[in-house]
Amino acid sequence: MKYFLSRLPGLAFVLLGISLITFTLSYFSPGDRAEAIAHARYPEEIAFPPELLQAIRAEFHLEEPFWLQYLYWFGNVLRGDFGLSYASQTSVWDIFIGNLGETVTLSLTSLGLGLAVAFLLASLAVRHPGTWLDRAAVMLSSVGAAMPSYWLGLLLILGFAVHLGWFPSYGTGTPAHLVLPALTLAFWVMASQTRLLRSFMLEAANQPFVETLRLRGISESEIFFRHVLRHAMVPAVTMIAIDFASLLEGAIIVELTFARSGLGSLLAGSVLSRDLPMVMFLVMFFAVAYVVINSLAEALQAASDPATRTQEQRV
Amino acid sequence: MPNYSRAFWTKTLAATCLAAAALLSPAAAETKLEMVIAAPFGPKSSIPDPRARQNGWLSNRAGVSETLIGIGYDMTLQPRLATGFENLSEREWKITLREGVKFHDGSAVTAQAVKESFEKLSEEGHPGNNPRLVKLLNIESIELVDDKTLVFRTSAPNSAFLWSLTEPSAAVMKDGTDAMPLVGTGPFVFENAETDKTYVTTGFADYWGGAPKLDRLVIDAISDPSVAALALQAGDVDLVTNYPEPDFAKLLEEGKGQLFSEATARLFFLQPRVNDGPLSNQTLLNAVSLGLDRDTIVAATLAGVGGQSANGIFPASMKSWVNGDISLSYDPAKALAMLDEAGITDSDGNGIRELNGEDIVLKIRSYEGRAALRPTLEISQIMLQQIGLGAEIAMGEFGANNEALKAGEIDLHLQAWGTAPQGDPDYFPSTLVATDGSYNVSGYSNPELDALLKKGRSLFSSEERKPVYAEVQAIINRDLPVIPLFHKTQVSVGNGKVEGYRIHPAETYLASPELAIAE
Repeated sequence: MKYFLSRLPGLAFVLLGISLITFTLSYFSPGDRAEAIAHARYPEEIAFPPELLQAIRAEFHLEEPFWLQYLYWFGNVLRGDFGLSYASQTSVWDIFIGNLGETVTLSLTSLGLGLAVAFLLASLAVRHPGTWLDRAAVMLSSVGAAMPSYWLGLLLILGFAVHLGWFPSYGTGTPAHLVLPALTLAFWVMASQTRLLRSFMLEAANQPFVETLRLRGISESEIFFRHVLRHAMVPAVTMIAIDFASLLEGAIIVELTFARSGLGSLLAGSVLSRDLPMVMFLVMFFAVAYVVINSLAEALQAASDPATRTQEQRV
Repeated sequence: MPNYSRAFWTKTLAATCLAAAALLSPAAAETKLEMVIAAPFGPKSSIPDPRARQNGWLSNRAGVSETLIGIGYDMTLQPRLATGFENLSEREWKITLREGVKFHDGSAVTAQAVKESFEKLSEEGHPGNNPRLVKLLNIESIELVDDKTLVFRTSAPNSAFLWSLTEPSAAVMKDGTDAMPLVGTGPFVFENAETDKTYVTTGFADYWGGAPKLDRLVIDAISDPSVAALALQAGDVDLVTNYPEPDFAKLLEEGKGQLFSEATARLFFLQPRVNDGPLSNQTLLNAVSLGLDRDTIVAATLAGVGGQSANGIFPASMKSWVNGDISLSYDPAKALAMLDEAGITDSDGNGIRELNGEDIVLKIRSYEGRAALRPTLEISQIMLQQIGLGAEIAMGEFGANNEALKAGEIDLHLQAWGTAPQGDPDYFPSTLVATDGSYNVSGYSNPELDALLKKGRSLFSSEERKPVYAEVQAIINRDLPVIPLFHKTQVSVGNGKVEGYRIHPAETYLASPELAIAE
């Protein structure tokens, strides 16, 4: 906790930087922002009368200088007012909350599934090094890393929805709707984590203390589950956290492929309809989530590994 | 470890998946006649009042809301909630309502109810508030003549008034309740919606046009056409409104599938910078148009089924306004001869012709948002090179491209517009090619055309307006302030059981009482 608190000023600085970058990118994005708002409000139209654009400029303070606009926006953000979506004129926060659950459910399910398989594969590979099990685990993780989520998603739809008819091909609402999207993302987690866990476990298994334990007559199973795994988990925690943060972003493709509700499809839809308040909020959220999750992982790692903590404090 | 056979593992996996599917699947739908349609766009809020913003487009298509006047499949005005519409003077329009029309809550649609619905358009804070439509209609007052007759009085003469009443936002609605948040008059009653995802309706037995054949209609937003096509194959949807063109062409070739196809009023065109730069040279501009093979563009970008080569700004299906005597041809030989004759030749032998001593390299931009834009841009570049014109292409952003065209930084902007969203022919030329048009960034100015457009707006009879706009179309083809390429054709595919579905050229209507699913 103390470690995490010590990182807070840095975190606040990072978040301030993210807010400034997000706003600057939005401010200098090509095209007339008044037109972008009009387009978000009337997506099927392409031309807008000048009076309407002028009214929008006045409504959104678009003719004020850059810094004033930034302070106006950031002040509202600090007060928890993230503005209204250009497209629906409803609160950005309400829309976000309405979609958060779907993405978190998808991400956690995928992480759970992917990690379970990754642990199994990595454990088998490490306990049977050089065998076909080891090679199969490496090959499966390589295939998973090379296969784009979009492609895998379409294959799963084709196999399990079109040909077998076991699961719905798209949508949200029931646990059945979660199966194929979760499998798609879980495959990516499995691929990423199998390689990492295998290498962390191998590193731990080759530590001198393992030989000492063997000389003491401790069984291989006990050595692996009580000691090797424990040591491997120290670096793994950070990588799992990074993967979880990446999963939130990976959900964009999967949610679009399966036409699911969630933050990913919300972000993609907002970008396409040029709904800047929604885009800015989501970019901020993903950046903050990434930073916070990584900081928490580092804190957790530091707590479980005194060497890391000491090193971090020195830095 | 026992040596299990492959069949054992296959059966075990299948049984596990089946058991999981059975446990996870929702209960079988109770509704007998339900249709699920996959469309590219979804609702923009959970209770989208059809009068606000662009919500009316979806609720109109879903058959929840209706307007006083509609646009027919031949793009002419058609009675809807109003059976009669009469121009009393330049500023007065008498509207006679249809007998026996009920709102979804069972109450009658009266002149007073219509007046109240229109008044909500200008009521700030009301969910149906729509300042854009208020400006478009420009209503000064609404007078109730009797229970079924109203007189709309506009602040200024507005010959497009009746056309503006076809705008889906001009829906006649009654204030909703918690139990029934949207109270319209259409064949389907709003049940619920999820932003950008789904719009669910149920049949309205008391609909004035007869009870709909469907008990329930669901419109699901699936933005990726490939995913929508898979959903159709999986049996999760009954109809895909915007099917991937290459797959449609394949089905057409194989004679499979329940196919629907209709030309729409959406035009893909190039807007040139004609005030300065190379395309201020009319010969060069004409050569560009002659050098573009519109049939090949449609064949290559939309598999030959997603568009129709343009002969002008309006499609042939827009019978009431299209000038059928004009055309745009592909004639590279003529283009080459014209260029040679005008002295626009390749004197240094580098394959690119010169104008005023400089290589002609046209800067062309387009934007993301319509799948056919990028390939059209790429093919156009190749076609222009074949007549000795260099072309530098890039994708940008719509607004930024317009600014660049206005500043003369680029020469052509490839765009796609609905040319007659309310069926009126004035919108597209007045916006894009009139001297004071809000999107005339080409620098084109033709007093003859401006006078014709002004005249068209001042006339109230369609018979009198038609020759005016026919001449406008001819001038546009002659001067080329926009270079029409092709009109988009919408292609849909059903599961073989869809009945009563027809694609509307303005993409404004979809659900009708006749829409059904064969049992």
